[in-house]
This record gives sequence, C-alpha cells and structure tokens, in this order.
Amino acid sequence: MEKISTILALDTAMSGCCVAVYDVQSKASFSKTEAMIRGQAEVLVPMIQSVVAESGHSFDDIDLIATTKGPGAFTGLRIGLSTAKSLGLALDVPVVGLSTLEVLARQYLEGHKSDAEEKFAVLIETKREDFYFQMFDGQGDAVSDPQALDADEIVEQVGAAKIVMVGDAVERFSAIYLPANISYHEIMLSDPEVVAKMGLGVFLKNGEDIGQTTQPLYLRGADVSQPKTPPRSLAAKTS
Amino acid sequence: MNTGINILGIETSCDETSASVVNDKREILSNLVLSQLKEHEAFGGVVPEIAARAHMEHLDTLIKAALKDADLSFDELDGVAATCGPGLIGGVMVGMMAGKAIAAAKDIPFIAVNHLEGHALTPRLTDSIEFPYLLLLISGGHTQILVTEDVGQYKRWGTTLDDAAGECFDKSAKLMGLPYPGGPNLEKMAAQCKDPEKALKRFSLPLPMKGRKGCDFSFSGLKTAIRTHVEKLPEGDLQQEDIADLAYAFQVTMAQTLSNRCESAMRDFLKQYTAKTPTLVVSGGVSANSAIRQALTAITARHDMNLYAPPLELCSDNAAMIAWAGLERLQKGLQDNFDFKARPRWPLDPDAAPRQGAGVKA
Repeated sequence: MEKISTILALDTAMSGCCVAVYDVQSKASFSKTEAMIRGQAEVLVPMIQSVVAESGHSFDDIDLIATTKGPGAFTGLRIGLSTAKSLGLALDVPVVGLSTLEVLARQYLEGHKSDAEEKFAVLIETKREDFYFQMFDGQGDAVSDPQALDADEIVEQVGAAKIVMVGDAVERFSAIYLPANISYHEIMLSDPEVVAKMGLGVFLKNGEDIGQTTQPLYLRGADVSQPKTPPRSLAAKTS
Repeated sequence: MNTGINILGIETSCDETSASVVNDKREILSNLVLSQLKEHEAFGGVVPEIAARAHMEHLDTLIKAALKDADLSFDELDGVAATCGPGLIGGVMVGMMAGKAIAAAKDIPFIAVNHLEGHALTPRLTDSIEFPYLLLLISGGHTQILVTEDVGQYKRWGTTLDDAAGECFDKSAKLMGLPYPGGPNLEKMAAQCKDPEKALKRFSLPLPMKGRKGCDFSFSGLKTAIRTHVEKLPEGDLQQEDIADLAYAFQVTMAQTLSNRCESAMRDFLKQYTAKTPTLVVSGGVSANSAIRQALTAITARHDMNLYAPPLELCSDNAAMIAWAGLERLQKGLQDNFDFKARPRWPLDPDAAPRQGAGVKA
C-alpha cells in the first residue's frame, strides 16, 4: 500500500461546507468551515481550491480523499460525495466515505476525553419531524445502528440511562423532551480535520478495499407516492 | 498523438446518466448512456429523488469508462462540460459537481452547459449545419421552437403552455393502460390500428392551438380528451383493438399540432432570416416517433426547407451533445467559474416571455 502523506477532507452533508487538508507526518491541518443551509454546490469547489493552495499544497500532493456520505440532506451529501469521487478519479487516489454520525461522535470524544465511561448519542437534523440517531459507548464504538427515528422512539431506546445527546439537532430535540437523564451538547458543524483523520484510519485498516464506504447513507427511502387512481388495465393480446 | 481539443461531457439532468468525450474534429470518441427506465417503471414517470440516487450510483463508473473508450487520460482533457440546468436539480447537482471537481483537479476550463443548448447544437456535431436554423425540440421535459442564431444566441418563438409533448405521450399512454415508457409503446400500439379512417371517426380529438397565431403549444386538452375517451370505453379490461384505434388517433393529432405550429414558425423564419439551406432541425426523444417525422418531412418539403434530424441516439439525452456544446462555447472564449449555480429553470432566450407548465423551465 502506498504511503499516505496529504489528505483532503470535506463535508457538505449537514448545514455547512467544511474542507481541510491534513498533513499526516506533521499532523498539521488547514481548514475552512462555513455554516449554510444551502449553497454548498457553489461554495465547495472554490473552498477546496483555496484550502489546498493556502495549506501550501497542490492537487497533485493529495493522496487520499475523505468525505462524509450522510446521513444528512440528500442533495448535500451527494454534493460532497460526487465531488470527492470525481476528484478521486481525476487525481487517481482512493476515496473514503464516512458517516456524519460517526464523525460527530469522534469530534465529541476528542473534546471530552475525561468522560470516557459515559454512553452518548448523536442526533443529526433531518429537516423533518424525526432525527438521524445513533448510540455510542464511551470509547466511541457504535452500540446501535444508524437510524431515522422520531423523538418518542429515541426516548424509548435511551430508556433511563444517563446519556449525553450530541449534534446539530439537540436544540430541537430538547424542545420536545427534557428528561433529567439526558444532557445536551450542541455541535453544529463537522470538523473536517476529524474527517481527514478518520478517513486515514479507515484507509490504513482496509487499504484499497474501501469502495463500499462511498455508498451514500440515506437512512430513508426516496418518498415516492403512488398515483391515487390507478390507470385502467389493458387486456392481454389475443392473437 | 492527439493535439486537438478533447472535452469531457456530463449529463444528469433527467433520467439518463451519461458521459462522453468529443473532440474538435467532430469525433465522438465515446458516448455512454445509462437509462434509468427500470428504476422509474413502477411509478409511471421519472421520480426526481430516485433519479438523483441513480446518477450518484453510476456517474463515476461512466466517466471512467468514457475516458477508457476514448483512450484518453484525464491529463489529455482540455475542458469539462456539465449540464447545469434546466432539469431535475438533484440530478443536475451530481453531474455539475463531478464536472467542477475534475476541471479543478486538472486545472482546465469548466463549462456550465444549458441542456437545451446541447440539443440545439447537436446538428453541428453530427453534420455541418450552419447558423441560423429553426429548431423543434420535443422531449419529455421540453417542447420549444427556437431559432438557433449562433452559439449562446437563441430566439424562442414557441413553447408549451402546459405539458411537454413527451409528457403528453407518456400520460396518455398511461391512461390507455400501456406500460412505461409510454411514448414508444403508444407508437407500437398505433401501428396495430386496422382501420385508420374508422379510428379517427370513432375518437375525435381536439387539435390544440388550432388557428391561433404564433408557435406556442398546448397539450393538456388533448390529454383530457384521451381520459374522457378511455372512461367511456366498456367496463372491465381495455381491449387491444380500441386502444390501437385511440393511440392512432392520438398520434395523428399530435403530428398535426406539431406540424401546424412548425409551419407558422417556418413562414416567419423564411421571411426574417437568410440561410443558404433553410433547415428545420428536429431533436429530443419524441422526434423518434415516425408519424411525427413523416408529418415534418411533408411540411418542410411544402415550404422548400430541409428537414434534419440527428441520429436517434443523439436526439435523446446524452453527454456527447453536452461535450460538443461545451466545446463550441469554449472555442468562443466562454467558460464558467466553479461557483456556478445550477439552474432548474434556464431559458435559452432570456428575452422570451415567461410561460406556465413545462414551458416555465426554459
């Protein structure tokens, strides 16, 4: 496996546009993040260009690309994934896809190393009634599947356990439920340096066999409604 | 060694995922089109989110294959052109971002192409048709009559006031119990009609916009008339013979209204423009219909105009036309920034009056 020295990381799956270039040897990173509900398709590529240039690199230095793949806004996650996959093709470098839930979990742990015992959950905005939700143990290992759940279902899963809720949807959730066993820690944007470091971890563990990681994580069907009055049916051909 | 200009084209605005490489010698080095018919079949029409997901799943494989087929590396590209509208925005985003990313990575021009300009300029890729020419664009999403004056310079003379022609084909076919995609299946059914004269008497249909000035189209009345006829047919399963007659009558009416509107445009074109060989170009998926082609052949002959239709695979959505439009734009010094915003609505003629229905998009 070739050695990885420079990683480009990006995330547009949540309410922001986040880009970093991470230098593996020096552990130095250069990043930009901007909060936005929409507009990532306009901002992302110029932001990548400026982060690459301002980090003192060129596109040819990049040897791994890490991107989020959802859950989040459908169009937003595709903006990041399509950009990352096409950069990977053009630069002939591998692309790793990461779950936004896992990225926020790692981001939370990096800021709270002392509370390693405590279970926590990540809540990400669906921009509908429900939430993208996943539970993690104090080591950051997932203890539930990523799911789209409404507030009642989440409270049921959490039970009486003392837990911290982390993510960009905690304010909306806490307006619905404020039980004593749940505390809240808002994280609105991903840290693209975390995306880069996690991407490196996945790559070092799995090598070139990371194609599956770039499958989008929608956690939800395409919401298709069938027509109300089905058309009349046509008799089979007789001749 | 190839020293010409090689452009990668990307098309994801509706239900075809496509990547192609075209050069300035009018050579289509590759043109891969993946249709999503199966994905949308159960819903009887294109579902935007399903389309966007399918584009996301397949686009990188197609781009890779398009370069391989063209026997070129990314370093040998001189620009990337991607459809940035009009169309289903979720899908457009997937292709636009891929185009921007490749162009940025290779430090080559990015060209944001209007999907309709792709259709409009195709005759210059497949044949050396000269400006100006009259264009009838008939597809599932668009129905327009345009004068193509130059690259980036169009006059929209007519557009639909409600449904697109292809949409009317598909919806009418659905009412007749025909499987998706409606257009081709309706044509097959019409071919089964045993007594055309009787069919036209049995199923009288309104001729949309008949006698109206200008070149605008309307198809919703035709669709409603089909619904009324279908409802009046005997209860139980619809019978093949009845539907063959109705499909025939529909197709005749469709060909008549398109001809009628085109004739109006042709008269104006011949009055207002001087062209060495006055030409009507017909493009878009609906132009595959042979009854429509026959009707257009007849009217162009009557007005001493040439009828030109690009090969079928370049009439329906494809990335070769996007690459070519990008190449023509690039040769005119036109290219776009990486902050280009995708445009779900994007008229080729910015001065044309806004319209309703499918006409609103472009």
